[in-house]
Amino acid sequence: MSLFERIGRLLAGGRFSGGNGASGAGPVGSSEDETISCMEAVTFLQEYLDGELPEAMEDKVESHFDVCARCYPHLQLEESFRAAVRRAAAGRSAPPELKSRVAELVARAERE
Amino acid sequence: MSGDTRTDEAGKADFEVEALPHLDAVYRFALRLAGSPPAADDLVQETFLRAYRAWAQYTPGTNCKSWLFTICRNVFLRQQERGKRHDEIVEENVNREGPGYDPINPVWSEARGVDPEGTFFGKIVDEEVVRAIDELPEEYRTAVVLSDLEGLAYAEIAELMGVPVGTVKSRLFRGRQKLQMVLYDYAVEMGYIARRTGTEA
Repeated sequence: MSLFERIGRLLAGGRFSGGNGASGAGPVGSSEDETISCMEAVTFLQEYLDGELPEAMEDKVESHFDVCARCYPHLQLEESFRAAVRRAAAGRSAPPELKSRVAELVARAERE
Repeated sequence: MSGDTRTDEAGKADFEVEALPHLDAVYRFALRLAGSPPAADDLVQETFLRAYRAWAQYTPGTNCKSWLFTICRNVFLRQQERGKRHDEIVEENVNREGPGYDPINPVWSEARGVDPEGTFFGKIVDEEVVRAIDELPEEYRTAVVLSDLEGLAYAEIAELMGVPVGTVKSRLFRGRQKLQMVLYDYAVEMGYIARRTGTEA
């Protein structure tokens, strides 16, 4: 058992499952005090990174990736992917000629 | 609100203040839809022209960027449909959603033991990343672009695409996985990552 997993067990009072489905967390929608399993964490990973989780679940998912050595690389891979996509295609401006053309079109439409 | 008040002087000024600032964003979206700068140019012009003519239908202070994106996508789709026979359109729509999304990303298994953190993504040149995005089927591409490049929320994308939030998530998550697998295969070809042989830890 890695150091991270041992810390996880301590925090969760022994119910930190490591994804074998036999955790005390039960079905999705764990109660306030329970931590989540690896399966739940990866199930919610996309929504977590998209900022679409309710705060309580967001905290649980974040904590899981903080302590789980097996799951953390999955988070890193998803972040590496998103960074590459953003770097490749985000933030470009329209060419100035296009901006003038659109302004012209709108001005002409205004006169109609 | 009647058409008259929105096309008077104040209405026209509103359009310039509220809609025109989103031109860069609409251009970026149009580029990913249409694939080339000249086609994107045409699409952007058509979008703003239609937006201006439909300005009375826009509720001031609501999400103008999303409204413009909706018009842009609708114009694009209508252009696509015009080139196709009916049976081609039906064929594409049949079973597009397919089997459910699997949260266990197949790329994780491929990269395991070799580069589980996915540093290989960072080695791929921008042109290849863009090409992979542009080769996605449109519903996947639109969901990925609107979320990952333009920062729209699921609910905004759902309204824009005219589908439930669940469908957006499905298209978005599967679109990302498809894109990741294409980029992974490219990275293997380029030697940025060794293809997993099954003997790694």
